[in-house]
Amino acid sequence: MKATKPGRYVSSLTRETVALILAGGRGSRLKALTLSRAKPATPFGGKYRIIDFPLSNCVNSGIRRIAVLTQYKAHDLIVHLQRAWGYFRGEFGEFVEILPAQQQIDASWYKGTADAVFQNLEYLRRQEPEFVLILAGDHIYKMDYGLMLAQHAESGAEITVGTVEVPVERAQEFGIVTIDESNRISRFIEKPLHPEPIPGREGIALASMGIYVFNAAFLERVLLEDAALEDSAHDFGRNIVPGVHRGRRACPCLRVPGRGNQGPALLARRGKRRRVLRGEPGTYVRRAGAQPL
Amino acid sequence: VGNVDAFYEANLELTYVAPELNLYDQEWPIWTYQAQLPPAKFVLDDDDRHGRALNSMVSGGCIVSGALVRESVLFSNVRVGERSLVERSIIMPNVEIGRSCRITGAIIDEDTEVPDGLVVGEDPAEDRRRFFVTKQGVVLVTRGMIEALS
Repeated sequence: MKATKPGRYVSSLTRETVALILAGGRGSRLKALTLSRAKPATPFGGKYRIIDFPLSNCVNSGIRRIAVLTQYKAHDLIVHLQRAWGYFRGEFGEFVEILPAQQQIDASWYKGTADAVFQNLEYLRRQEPEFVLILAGDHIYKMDYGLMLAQHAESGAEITVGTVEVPVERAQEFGIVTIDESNRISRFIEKPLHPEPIPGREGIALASMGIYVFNAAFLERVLLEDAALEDSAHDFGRNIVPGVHRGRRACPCLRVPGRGNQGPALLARRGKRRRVLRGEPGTYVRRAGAQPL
Repeated sequence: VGNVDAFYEANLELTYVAPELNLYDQEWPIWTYQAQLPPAKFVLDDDDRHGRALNSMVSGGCIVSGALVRESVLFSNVRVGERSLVERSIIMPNVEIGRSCRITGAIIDEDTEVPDGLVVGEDPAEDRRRFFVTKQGVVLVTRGMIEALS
């Protein structure tokens, strides 16, 4: 472990991190709302766009090297990124950059989330990060990634998967992880028919949030391996993460505190009933620096 | 936000007294780009026309003119005309709602001009014929669908 003081320690981890926000998917399930734009660019909450949430989480967590991978109907998203997130200062080594699909490797566009990162490995190498934080551009939530990085570094793992608790009956919609006592992932199944509950927690399963911290060197290795596989869909959730925990080094998960069916998946549907919630809003919201390590 | 229902619900929740997603937390601000827009405005206070918004979020550039907006989110630059009622609805940017409309449980997509007297969200069969209705009964109305009506 590198440092002595917790605050300083986390800030050195976030500085060593490049965040990649995956924003290239079609998002057809939002119907007409994404007719002319990628889902991350969809307006939300009166004056925001969905992608403002992971981006704000990065900045609030102290991660200021961010690349957004775009492909499908990207114009609206790019204009928003330029207007809203164009103020970063290159002199300080900080940026929000756009990585459009540009047939970097061969004549194909981004074939999946993992392929999108694979096609930008050269770019990533130039940044020389120690950690790579993979985020989805279409999730609405607040989270301090610094805590996730700290857990990742302390565990000595190659990859850490962000998870949230969901009721088993809704677990079929997510990638579900099974963990052992030491918090390591023993199984990862995308959209399982029979989701396994957390040991000792009847009716609750752990869903992947689609958020991963990789050691940069390890990421490169698994992406190179995956790229060579012809039957792979080159997708983090379907191919990379289920593969890496088998026979490799520890693959712990970070359990983001949240009540039952909340969290980033947050917006998965929740019935029509109107609820006025009281008390501390959103326990999955963690504030920067509030937690000693 | 997996689908239209989730998108609707997530927006609507922001109007609650203490939603899970707190946009007013100054320790964890959500940054964005905002056009320079004039303040939201609520006009008319006659016997039968009151410009009001209750349990709602109303963005910059909006004018609610002699209409009632309830449990709704109005994105930037929305107009609501007199004697109209907007309830439990998500009104995307630059939407103009005419006079004497009743919009309930709907998402009105960007740049849509809702003609005077249009009723959305009361007759499911009619809504299904003209608009897109989700599993949970949220009515999605787009500019193209409105244009196809005339």
